[in-house]
Amino acid sequence: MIRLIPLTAMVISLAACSAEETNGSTPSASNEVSPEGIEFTLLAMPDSDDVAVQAAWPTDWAYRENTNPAAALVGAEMILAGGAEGYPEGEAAEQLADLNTEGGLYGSANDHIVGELVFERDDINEVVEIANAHLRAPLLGQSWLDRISDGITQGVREERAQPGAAGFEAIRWAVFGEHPLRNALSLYDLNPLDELTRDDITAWHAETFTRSPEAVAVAGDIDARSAGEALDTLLAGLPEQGREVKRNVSPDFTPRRILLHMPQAEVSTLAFIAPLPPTRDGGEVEDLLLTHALGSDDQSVLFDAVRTQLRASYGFGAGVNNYTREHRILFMAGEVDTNQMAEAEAVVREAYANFRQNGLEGDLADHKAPLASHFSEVADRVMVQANSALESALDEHPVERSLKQELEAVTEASLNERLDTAFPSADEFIVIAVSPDADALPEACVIITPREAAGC
Amino acid sequence: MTVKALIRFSGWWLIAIVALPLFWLVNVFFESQDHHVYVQSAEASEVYAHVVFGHRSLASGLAHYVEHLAWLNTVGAKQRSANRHSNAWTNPYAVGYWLSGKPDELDDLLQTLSGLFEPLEVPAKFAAEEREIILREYEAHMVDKPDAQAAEAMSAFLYAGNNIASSVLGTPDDIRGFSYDDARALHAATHRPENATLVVTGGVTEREVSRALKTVDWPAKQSADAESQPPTFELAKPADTLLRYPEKEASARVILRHVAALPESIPFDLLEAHALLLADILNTNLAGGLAGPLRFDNAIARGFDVQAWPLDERHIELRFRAAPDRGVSLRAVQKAFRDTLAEISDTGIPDETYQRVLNRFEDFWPDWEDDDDAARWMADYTLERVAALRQPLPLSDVKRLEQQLSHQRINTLLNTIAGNGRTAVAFIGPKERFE
Repeated sequence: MIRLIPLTAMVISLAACSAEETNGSTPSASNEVSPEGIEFTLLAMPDSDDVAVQAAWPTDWAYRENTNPAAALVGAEMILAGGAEGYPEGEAAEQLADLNTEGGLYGSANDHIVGELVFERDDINEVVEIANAHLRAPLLGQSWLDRISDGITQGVREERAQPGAAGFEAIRWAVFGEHPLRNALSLYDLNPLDELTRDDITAWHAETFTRSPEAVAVAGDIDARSAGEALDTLLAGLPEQGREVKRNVSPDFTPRRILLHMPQAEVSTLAFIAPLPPTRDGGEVEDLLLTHALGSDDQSVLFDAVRTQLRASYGFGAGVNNYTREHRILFMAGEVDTNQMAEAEAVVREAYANFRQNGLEGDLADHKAPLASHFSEVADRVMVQANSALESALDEHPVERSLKQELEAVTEASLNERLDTAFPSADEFIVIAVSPDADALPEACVIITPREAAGC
Repeated sequence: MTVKALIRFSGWWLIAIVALPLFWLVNVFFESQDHHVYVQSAEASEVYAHVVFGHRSLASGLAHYVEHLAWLNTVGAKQRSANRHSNAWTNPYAVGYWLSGKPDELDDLLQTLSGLFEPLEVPAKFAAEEREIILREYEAHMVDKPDAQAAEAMSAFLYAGNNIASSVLGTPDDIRGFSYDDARALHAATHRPENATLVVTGGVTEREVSRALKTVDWPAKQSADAESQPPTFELAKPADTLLRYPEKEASARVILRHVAALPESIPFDLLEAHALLLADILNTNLAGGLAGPLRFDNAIARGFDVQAWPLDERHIELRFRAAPDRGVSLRAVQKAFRDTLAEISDTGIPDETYQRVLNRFEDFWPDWEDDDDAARWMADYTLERVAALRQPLPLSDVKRLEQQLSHQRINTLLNTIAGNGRTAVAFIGPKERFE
């Protein structure tokens, strides 16, 4: 689901990588193969008591006409909560808690399902056995399907009553139209949840969890053979990949100005979105520095423009998100005073245009310092490192990639080039206002339901 | 704040001046005769300076308005380099301001923050406009947010007669009624050296902080500490209230908060550790936990969460939040929770369960052998205590807490929380799910 996420969350996902120094020792990254043939990236992190494992299974479930998009979200929760062969519901969680183990399953940019585990090295055999049972033979009982789909249905219903969520849904309609991916991103249309059956869940489970994850990463003080054997146990009994994954979608990012009229709304929101190149093409560190300066805190360009100068908002921020791994977006968004909506749009556009033209203000080293500090801070965290290695593998970056070195290599020239070549110009944004005042954004395409945005 | 800190503050408002804060915190301790100062040193390339003032204001929202104006007066409206982050916050006890920078910039950071003691000189027009910004903040936090609305109403009932019963943010009418003169008066009464605590964390030493305080002539205490006692809580007479938030599109949920008085006082930090451990036990699917009776053995709640924390050395609060299973009313969930809690209280927590959850609980504390981990934990802990106007324990005493946990105390807390007190229940969601 595309929501506004603070920069701090993005920083956490963009962690330091293989060449970082940890407590005086240097972790090394290598490509390895398990005894049973599972390829994986190993981040050797000496002195770490914990081991983290992450695996990404490719999926195109959300892209297809004949699948139920709710199956992935509900199914992932059912695997975690509903028990598995040899592990009645509610028991494994207590066993894992005794082992100080954490784990989860989540969708990554709708292109992969990512499974993650972090545990103490000495418990590796017990942990991977429990995880294997839940991946291979989850119970997927009807009662848990009902429970979890009820919860998700109610959560979606509540969220879509919020003006901001309705605005982002309108943007999804404008960008994806009737493509199945649109509803898979948000489940805003609740029909899939109403129609979801256990067969949908079992079909999704059977085609998703195979012996062929697209990328696997292991981080910790563990040798390649032990890690490989653990992965073999983790994936034992899973089927081979049975179908080719095809992710076809052609989003339409044509600039438009849209006003979603919600007479009952008590607040007005304003958002701008435009595409950014995929992370596979590089430039992530530049993007992070730039979006931080654009809209993360009280010194940001947008905070100054909309709150300090215009006095129209409590906060107006910017960030980056993924619709898919291939289709990334830059967003600028916030709640604004209804009476200042039109002025706010102009002020944001002008502030962004100036930012894109002039780049960062102040000493570049000052802008880099917090990120460098963060990279150092997370250098000994196995889960962060494993996730970084996994994301790099999915983007086909070399295993020896170092974000610390990438940060050091950033110059004012490289930032300006990034702004010029990768960041959209000020008139390339889709603008969405949600307001109780139908005239709040003059000359906009006025709609009363998100779906109508497809026709703007 | 860290997740741990957020959990501890659950149920209370902690309103920050900036919507998208950047809070990468790093973190020992000294207190001088002239100042209340805590220093938590760590291997870090940054330093954070926090100044906390107790406010004890009964006027809803006014302390928060003062916070906005004082931050603008001191930090917000002034140019600073990109590596210097800042924010400010208000909670029911105090207002706080922080500024970060490089360790060699400590003098300058403190010089800037010393402006907090200066009279407010924000232009009157700007101060009036800031009320509008706070209205936008109110909208962001409260409009279409039934949980936030319920939390304020429940706190007002549970804490009746105590300062913390009043709203940190205030109502829209409160906010529109703020006057600059009232703000200046509260600022002058609270933003004084006697009422301030400085917490410095990061890549600096106690000696460096001491030297910097002299260099910038940090304002010294002029009189005895009038407000140095930690806040106490008085429990109004036992009573229950039910608040209803019918929201057609909202997910059905019940929130139950209960405040009760212990038979005898327990040191605050020890009480907090026991409260957290008790909540952990109640959240499990082990004998003595609630997950079996409510979620796994019976389809009553599809999900629930229990938290518990002390209000002072004699009072403890428990919060239960649950989403009902299909066909189960919120009233039925509430009753099942109370009945089950009473049953667990009658039998006590089984020893096997206590030992299993106690073994997991060691992760609540940092790895004391890991200096970096320990310093971060102590920084969060120190700030959390100061923000609630309490003195943090020295490291050696914190380390001893784990050995002082007892099964008997857990059962005492359980009996207390299952007994008489003040209870506020909120039903949120479609009204047909209420009964």
